[in-house]
Amino acid sequence: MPPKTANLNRTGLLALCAFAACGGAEAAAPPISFRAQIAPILLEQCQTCHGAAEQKGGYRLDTFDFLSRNEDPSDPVLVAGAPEKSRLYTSLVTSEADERMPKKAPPLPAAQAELVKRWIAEGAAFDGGERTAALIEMVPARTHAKAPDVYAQPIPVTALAFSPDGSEVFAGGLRELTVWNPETGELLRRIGNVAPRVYDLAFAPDGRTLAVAGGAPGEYGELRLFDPKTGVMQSQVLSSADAVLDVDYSPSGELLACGGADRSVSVFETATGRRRHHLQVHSDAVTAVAFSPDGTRIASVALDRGAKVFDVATGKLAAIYREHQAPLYAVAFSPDGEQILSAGRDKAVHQWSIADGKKQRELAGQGDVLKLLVSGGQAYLAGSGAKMMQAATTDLKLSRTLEGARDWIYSMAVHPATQRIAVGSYDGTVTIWSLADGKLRSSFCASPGAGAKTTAAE
Amino acid sequence: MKMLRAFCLLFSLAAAPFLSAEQADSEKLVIPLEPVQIGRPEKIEVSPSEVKMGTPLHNVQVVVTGVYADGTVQDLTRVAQLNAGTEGIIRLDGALVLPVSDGRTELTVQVGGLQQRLPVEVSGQKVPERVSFHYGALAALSKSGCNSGGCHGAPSGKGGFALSMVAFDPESDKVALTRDFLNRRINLPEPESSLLLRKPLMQVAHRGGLKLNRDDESYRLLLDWIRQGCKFDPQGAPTLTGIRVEPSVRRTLKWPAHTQQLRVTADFSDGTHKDITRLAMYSSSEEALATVNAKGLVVGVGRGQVGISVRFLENVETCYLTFVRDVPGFDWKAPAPANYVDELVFERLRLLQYLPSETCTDAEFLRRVSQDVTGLLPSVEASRAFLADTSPGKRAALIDSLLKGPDFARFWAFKWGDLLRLSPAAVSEPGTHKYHAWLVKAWEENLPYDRFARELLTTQGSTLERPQAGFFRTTANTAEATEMTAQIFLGARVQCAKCHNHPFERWTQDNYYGLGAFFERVQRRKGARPDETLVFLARRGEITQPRTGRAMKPWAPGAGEISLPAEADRLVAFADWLTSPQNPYFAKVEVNRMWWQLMGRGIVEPIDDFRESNPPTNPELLDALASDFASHKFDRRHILRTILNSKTYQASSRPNDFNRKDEKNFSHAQQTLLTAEQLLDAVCKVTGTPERFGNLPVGTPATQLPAPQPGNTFLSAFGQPTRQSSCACERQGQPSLTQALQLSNSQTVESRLKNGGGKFLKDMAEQKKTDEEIITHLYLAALCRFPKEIELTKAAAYLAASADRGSAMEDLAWSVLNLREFVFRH
Repeated sequence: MPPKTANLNRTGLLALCAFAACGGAEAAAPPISFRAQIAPILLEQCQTCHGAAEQKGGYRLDTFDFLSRNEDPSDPVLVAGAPEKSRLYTSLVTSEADERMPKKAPPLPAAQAELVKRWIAEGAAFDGGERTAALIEMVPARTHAKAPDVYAQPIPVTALAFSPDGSEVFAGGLRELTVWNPETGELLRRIGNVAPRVYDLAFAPDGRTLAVAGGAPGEYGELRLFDPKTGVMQSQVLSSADAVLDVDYSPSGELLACGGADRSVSVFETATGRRRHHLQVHSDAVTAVAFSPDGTRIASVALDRGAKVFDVATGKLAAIYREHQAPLYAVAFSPDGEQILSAGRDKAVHQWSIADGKKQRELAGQGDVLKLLVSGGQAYLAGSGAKMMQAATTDLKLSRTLEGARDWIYSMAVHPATQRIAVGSYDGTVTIWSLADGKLRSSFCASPGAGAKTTAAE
Repeated sequence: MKMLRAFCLLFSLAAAPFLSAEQADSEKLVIPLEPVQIGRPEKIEVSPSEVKMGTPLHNVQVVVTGVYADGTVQDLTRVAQLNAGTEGIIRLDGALVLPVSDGRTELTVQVGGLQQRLPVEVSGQKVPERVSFHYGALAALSKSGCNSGGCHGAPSGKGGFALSMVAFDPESDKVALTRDFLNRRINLPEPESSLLLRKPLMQVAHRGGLKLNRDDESYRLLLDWIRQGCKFDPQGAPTLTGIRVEPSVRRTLKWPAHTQQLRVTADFSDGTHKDITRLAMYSSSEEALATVNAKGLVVGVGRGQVGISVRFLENVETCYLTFVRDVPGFDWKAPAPANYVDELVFERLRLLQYLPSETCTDAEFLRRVSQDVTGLLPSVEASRAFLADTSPGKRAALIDSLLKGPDFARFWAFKWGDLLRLSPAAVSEPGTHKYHAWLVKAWEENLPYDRFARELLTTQGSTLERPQAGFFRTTANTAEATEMTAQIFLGARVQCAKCHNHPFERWTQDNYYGLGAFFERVQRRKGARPDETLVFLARRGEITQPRTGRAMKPWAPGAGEISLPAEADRLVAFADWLTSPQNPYFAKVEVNRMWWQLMGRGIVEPIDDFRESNPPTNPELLDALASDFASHKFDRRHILRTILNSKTYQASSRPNDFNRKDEKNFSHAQQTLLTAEQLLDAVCKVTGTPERFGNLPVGTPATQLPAPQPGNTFLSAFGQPTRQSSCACERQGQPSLTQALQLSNSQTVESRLKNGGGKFLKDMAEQKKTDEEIITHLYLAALCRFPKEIELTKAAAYLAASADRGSAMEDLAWSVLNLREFVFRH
């Protein structure tokens, strides 16, 4: 996939550059950009109460369209050129405590209120493309601060992936990916400009692109593509209202699916960056998504306890499963694509048929099951029990338990060619076993400077 | 047309003014802090006497009290001048002492020309302090309200984040805070970025609003706990053994000295203490009397006693403060006290500057005491005799005779039927009659209350032969038996503690199941005969605390775990504990219930909600009644007699200018709507026509029914309970439109008046009474008094002017039945 910036972002960036160029030539300050300067403020300060989920006082500010509707003409939200008549500005600076926004919070920094004022005074121009597009999707891609050289404390390993040749293992860190030698636990390199928390990693089938799902919990989510070799960001595929928790490529590599704490599942065309589906079908965070082996379906699970299957071509719901009694964290297809394996905090893997939504088998998880992979006809699962469990998808009977991790397991990666399985834990360690003999190969702290390592050689 | 005339009559009769009880004056002024008038204290007391801080997170609240020559005290904390002594050892935030670095110095406290020096020792400042998960992080979350029942402490949490209510389940909180949702809430390498902090700081939008500030102790504790790696408390770490609140004795504060700084100390199992004034949670039993802020400063607003409950995790203590204030023009006068009840009530009224109402009239007393003791109106003859009696001891004599009569025993058995949930649905029709008969007998024989309770709680066998075993028949399982026993005999609502620690009180989930252990072995089997239930005890069986999975030992409040032989009769053990003189609840709960039944309001209100944070309005009175009760072998008639003979009970319900706002201190009698059954009986008695209840003998009063009668619209309109619960609140006393319609226009009333239907009217007609005789008779029957001149004149004129005398008499009777004076107990 060629390097590409999602179209909106690219136009936006160009626009911003143009402004900067013009502004440089004249003494006057450049005009305020809505998408670059105002939208981020609205996103940070207003969305919880005046967004898609809730519209306190009847106000909705998550698109420019809503912002500029002025449904009550006697008390308009936005009057171009007249900040003092625009509630958007006056409510930020009023001295009446009950009226001032954001409610129950400290007032906005004066500089931010001033930006809003100037933008309105300058004519409240909209430079974000579609008026009805969500603000979160139009703001320019963030540049993330550098990761600390040395971590004060280990960060839980919530994302793991083997490089296509199995010679490297990528782990999610703090605003970075760390790349390790799986045999020695040696830190090979670090990839920056990543979201504060990384929740999932996926290599494109051609191995040339690494999808990184993450975000700042409660603030925003990001799905970015990186060149795994150079560590250069290729594009930002998605900016969303809360952390992106899981990402998966279709077997052909043409599509990319992700799900996140904003409760939605998105499907993108990798060639164009175009979003093909935006499925808002869960009532709580979507924790895992998976493509079927033939690429025609997507399964998703969420904290709302529901597991769902969609048709990729139409985006239509193909199956719903409601037998789980607790929030779900993991989902996978059986090798034949006819069954789903789903699991979560009710401490069991359910294997159920897509055709009738009925449970076929169950495997007790020895604790909450937070991660589940199917590879070569085998299901691998792990979670709060800090053990890796293995069972064949044909009978779902426990065939092997690998011990060695010491805390809740959040992430897992398998590399069939080198016969390695890796898990990442709350305590910051990555533990790698050989699938051939079940022996521990290495165990190391994936937070630079914050822990020790042991390897099979020692 | 006729109805209209009758209404006019009603209004003209009602014009003889009958004062209504003043509504609660609900002015809730936010009283600003008055400047402290320091005056000339005789001495000052400073707490603590020395300041020792051994860790960086220690701080110490200093409380300064002025003691004056007249015996009064005043909190001078706000105005005392504190001097930190040697530079760099401590710093001061008001009267809060914080450590700076290791060393010794002296803290000087100056106020009112007096001075005290406190030795100060600061140590351990160079050693980082481990922040305890329980007493640091969870206490901070509790203090900030994060885990309150309305926020993340709700059963399913808020916004996907669920904590246990006030941290009653630290194990689940561990997971929720650190592991849950992919470690979403904590950022270990960059603790300040943790969502757990950013949300309540409102750095990230938070629907719960701003709950934390960077200079809060809670913020520092949470941040340090994260910085230290979110560690849980190691095995063997010191545990909290209790908390202490100062002032520790009841204190009276007189306006303008209306503030009190509290000081709270936590004691740990390793013998260490820690000042937790800034970490404890505070609430006022009555915001209209006093408010309390997050720093433990109490500000009095009204006059009266308030309980400030202080909570730290599952530990709750209460500080009692009485606020008084000079009322302009107040001049104490009161009737001569009849007994200790009056002495104690008057003492409090005098302190709070409320003036007791004058003693009620004989007619008011007659009607009130008859209703309260027997549930019934006296006969016209009895009223005439009592009103004519001129002997000084006639009230006491009437009380004695009522307490000895059969109606008393049946009425109080009926009241207990409500509490014990006697109903055919619960114990079958014959079971109800037998159980009811047992209750009547208990009251007739004046069965001492301790034996009464013991019979109910320990009787095993067939409910046909031993009806009091019905107690365990009405409680189908351990939970119901536990809750009903607690509600009736301990005056405690423990239901909350079934699923979580009580949010306001010291009842923990362990306590609930510990109490339940007494009842876990009770078995209920169907007997061989119809309607027979066998109640017996299994020899084994332990109750399991569902959260911890632990088998609970029998536990009783105040006594702790009670060790018993494996197969001991736990019901007997419980009854032994319950009725022992050391039990702080047993006597108080019952005297308070009797007081409530006679006075319309408990000394503790509601009567089944005894808890430290809901203090009695007059603790001395409750203590005196309880100790009188215990020393008279739990003789309930003795207590009733004592209360009935008091001037307090006999006070008029008309308020005066100096007690109009008082609702809680018994300065005047309460006007309350008669209960459904009392009202129906009164209507029947005045009209001379009884109500029929199923197969019961004709003439059985509603106030003596073994169980509620279904389908009586009059009774249900006036709030007859169906006996589903042991809460006195099941009886609804709220006035409603249905009630007005029942009285003015229902079959129950109409059939007793219309077309000569009522026996009273027939008698009057047959006996050829004069208008004046009829009117007088009606007033005596309904209101226990002679009509006033103006009432007589108007009513007589109405009778004289009407063409149809029978119909006019109906109107007259109807009007009297609709008088507020008839419908209310006053």
